[in-house]
Amino acid sequence: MMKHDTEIATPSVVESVKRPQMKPQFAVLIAGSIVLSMLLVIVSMYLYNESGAAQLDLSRPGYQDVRSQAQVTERFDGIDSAGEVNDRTLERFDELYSEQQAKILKQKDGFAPAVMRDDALDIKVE
Amino acid sequence: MKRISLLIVAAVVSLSVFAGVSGAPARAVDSEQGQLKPGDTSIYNLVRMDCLAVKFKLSKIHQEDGLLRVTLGQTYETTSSKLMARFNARIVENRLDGAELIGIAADYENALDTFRDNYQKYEIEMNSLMKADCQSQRQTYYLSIDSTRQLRNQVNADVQNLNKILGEYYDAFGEFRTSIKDDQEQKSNDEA
Repeated sequence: MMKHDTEIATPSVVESVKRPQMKPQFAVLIAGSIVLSMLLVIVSMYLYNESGAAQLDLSRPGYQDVRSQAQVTERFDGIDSAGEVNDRTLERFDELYSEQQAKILKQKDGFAPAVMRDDALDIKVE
Repeated sequence: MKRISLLIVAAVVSLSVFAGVSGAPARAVDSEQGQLKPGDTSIYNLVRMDCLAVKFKLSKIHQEDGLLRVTLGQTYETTSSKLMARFNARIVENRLDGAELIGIAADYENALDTFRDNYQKYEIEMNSLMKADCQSQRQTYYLSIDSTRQLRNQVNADVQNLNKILGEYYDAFGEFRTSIKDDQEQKSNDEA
């Protein structure tokens, strides 16, 4: 003979049936996801600043005026690391190296001290 | 259960606010720190500057330095990785004597690391300078300008050093090329 579990419909049982119950595990899942993503953001921001990538990022605020001047440079392949060292290789290396050196020397006055002197900033110290 | 959920959400929100505040790279200048004490005022009796104009000029310098760092840095890096390193590898593969070239390339790498580090220090300092209070702490602001200036001069010295090493590498390459040619001539004479 089958037994049937009968539940007496007490007021608290009726109440719990009417009210949808939010499982605590769901709240913990949401909160845990938020905490984990915050931690990952903190770690990535730390790496971004410490690695020096921040200094190369012209998309940061304060660089709007010069952003357009950072042109996409042509791909530079250099020379192959494997192969003979013959006249052709030496000639090619000489050509590429001189080209790069000329590009660098065009900006040899970069970070020149003159622009930050007191007179350049119009500062008078007595 | 509802209370637990609310507590968890409140904890997460507080953590987010704390993380946002602590993660922000900008630091506000403490109004009490840095102001010269009465005994120090003999250093600069009077500093006259138009704060807005100075900050404007500094921001221009900051922008141009940022652009220069990217363009110059790119060229330095490609010269190192796609020319020097590869040529040195080829020398080693062919069992030729390129000790001087390899030594200079190592010096170049060290100098490049120093340049990167010093530029980072300078840029952080410059950022702080642009956000610092100039109006009420003029003397301190001037001292900050001076220290930023020193850091920038150091970056300039690093650039000059890198350029010098590039020249040394090219000279050593010239000698290497001459020695290769001499060896080839010697070989062809011996064969003849």
